[in-house]
Amino acid sequence: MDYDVNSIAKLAHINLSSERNMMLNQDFGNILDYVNTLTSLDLESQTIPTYYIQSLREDIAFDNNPIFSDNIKENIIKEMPLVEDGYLVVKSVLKK
Amino acid sequence: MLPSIEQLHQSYIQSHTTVTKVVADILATIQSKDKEINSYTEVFGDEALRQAELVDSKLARGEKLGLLEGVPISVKDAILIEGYKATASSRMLEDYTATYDATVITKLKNAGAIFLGKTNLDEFAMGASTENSAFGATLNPADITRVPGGSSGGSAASVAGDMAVISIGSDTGGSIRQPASLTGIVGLKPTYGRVSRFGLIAMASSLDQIGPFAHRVIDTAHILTAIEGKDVMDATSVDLDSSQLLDIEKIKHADVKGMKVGIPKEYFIDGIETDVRQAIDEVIETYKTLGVEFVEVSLPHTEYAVPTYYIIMPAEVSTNLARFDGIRYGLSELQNSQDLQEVYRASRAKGFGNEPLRRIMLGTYVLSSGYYSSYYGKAKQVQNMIRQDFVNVFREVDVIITPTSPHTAFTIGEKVNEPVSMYLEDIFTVATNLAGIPGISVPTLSNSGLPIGFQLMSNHFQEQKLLTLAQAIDNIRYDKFNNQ
Repeated sequence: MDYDVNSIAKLAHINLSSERNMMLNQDFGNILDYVNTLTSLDLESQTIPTYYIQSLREDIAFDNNPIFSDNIKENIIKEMPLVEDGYLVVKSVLKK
Repeated sequence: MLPSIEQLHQSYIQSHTTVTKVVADILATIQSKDKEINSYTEVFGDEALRQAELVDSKLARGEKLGLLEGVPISVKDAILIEGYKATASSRMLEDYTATYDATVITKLKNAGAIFLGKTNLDEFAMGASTENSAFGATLNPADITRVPGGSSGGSAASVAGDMAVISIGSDTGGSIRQPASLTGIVGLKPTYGRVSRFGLIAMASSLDQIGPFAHRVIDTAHILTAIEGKDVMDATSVDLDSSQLLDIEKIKHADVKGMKVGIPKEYFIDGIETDVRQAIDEVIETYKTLGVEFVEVSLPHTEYAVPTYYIIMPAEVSTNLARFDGIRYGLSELQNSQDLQEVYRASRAKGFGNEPLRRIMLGTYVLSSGYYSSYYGKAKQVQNMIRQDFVNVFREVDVIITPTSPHTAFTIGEKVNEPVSMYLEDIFTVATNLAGIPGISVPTLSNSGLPIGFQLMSNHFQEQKLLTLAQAIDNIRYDKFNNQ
């Protein structure tokens, strides 16, 4: 099996230090060897199960959801790393 | 051992003690004992006492008290209590304050339970020893050189160490049952969908389930009754029909005569410690004297449960933990980053410890284009076969019995650098999560050396059978060791 720890880290949006790169290179082989025991199973006759494709709930909007307290908006904003005029600040998405 | 829920309730209403005294005593125990054990990440001392006084004044006014009123409970720090930190024992959420209550918390608050504080866990509930916590390992009250199991190790240790009457934990692959076994208490993982997951910091959403820890089986039944049921905030929670609801009096009565229990040959393998094997055999022999019938059964895909779990779980972990990106809440490197991509990458690198990192990476890999069907697709097929194994066996028997763990508590540091060996800790517990069925770990009748638990599993929503059978041994154990 091919894997490149650096490109997986890129997909997962995580910077990897060289120590962690080494650790993962070592662990990944062991873990994948282990989970690869599944390859010994003959699944030709097995249909792909469909029960786990759960029906989606209806999207119902709650006005005044009683579960949330009145000041939930303020409390959520309080948790944001950087706020300006009640808006969440992010880095620009498009380069100038 | 702290009193049970019913004992506590009786001593409140008969004025043998006050809620304030019980809570203050437990807080004193926490203060003297928990510096060493480290079961709590935060203790709500003043608020717990304030709540206790409210219940006492209710009693003084002669008002009727509900069964859970004034019962001191600890909560795994992966479950949200509004206004308190919810860290998941991760640097990522070290400073995060919950903005709402989990549904189980709302229900327990309405029932009058008193929250003592939040308990330590393996970071984001990933681990089997509670050594992966960003806030230090929790020690096993039965032997402080050993781990309490995990990931709900803080919850288990708080109950085992008499620092809470009840604890609420979560179980994705064994995280309630294995620590219950290793610390010598009872831990119940309900059927998937029985208890709302709303407000539980998600690990693997198709496998996660919230459940209770207690000294006594009947207390887990009381708590399940209080927290179960359909919740609009969790689409996978279900309405229970009357045949699925618990009959507490029947459980207490523990009439197990004629029940049929399966012994799956794939679980009684080499590698189980002799002490564990003997303790399980003693339980089986005791059940036989009570009229329980045992048959050997086969769950042929058992050996594939852990590898299947270590594909499905990380796949869901990588998806669920994508939300921790340094943008909306949690640890953020926004101020130290040049562009948006760097905010994500730097925040996640700094916030996640090694085990979440491993699982996010593994999940990203098994879901990546070119590998998806050979890993995730295959694992979902095998999961179906494992589930079918159980369905077949439950046509023949009411309950299945196994050890909860192949061994007693291991020493601190023993497995911390060997991920695969740590993953094998879940060998007897993951299959229930993959199949969605309930499981309970109950202390065996062994009372020498380290704690040993046995596991009972039943078909979906058949917790009544599970708890009735568990209660029978619990009664005998209690009479043997605590009533002398």
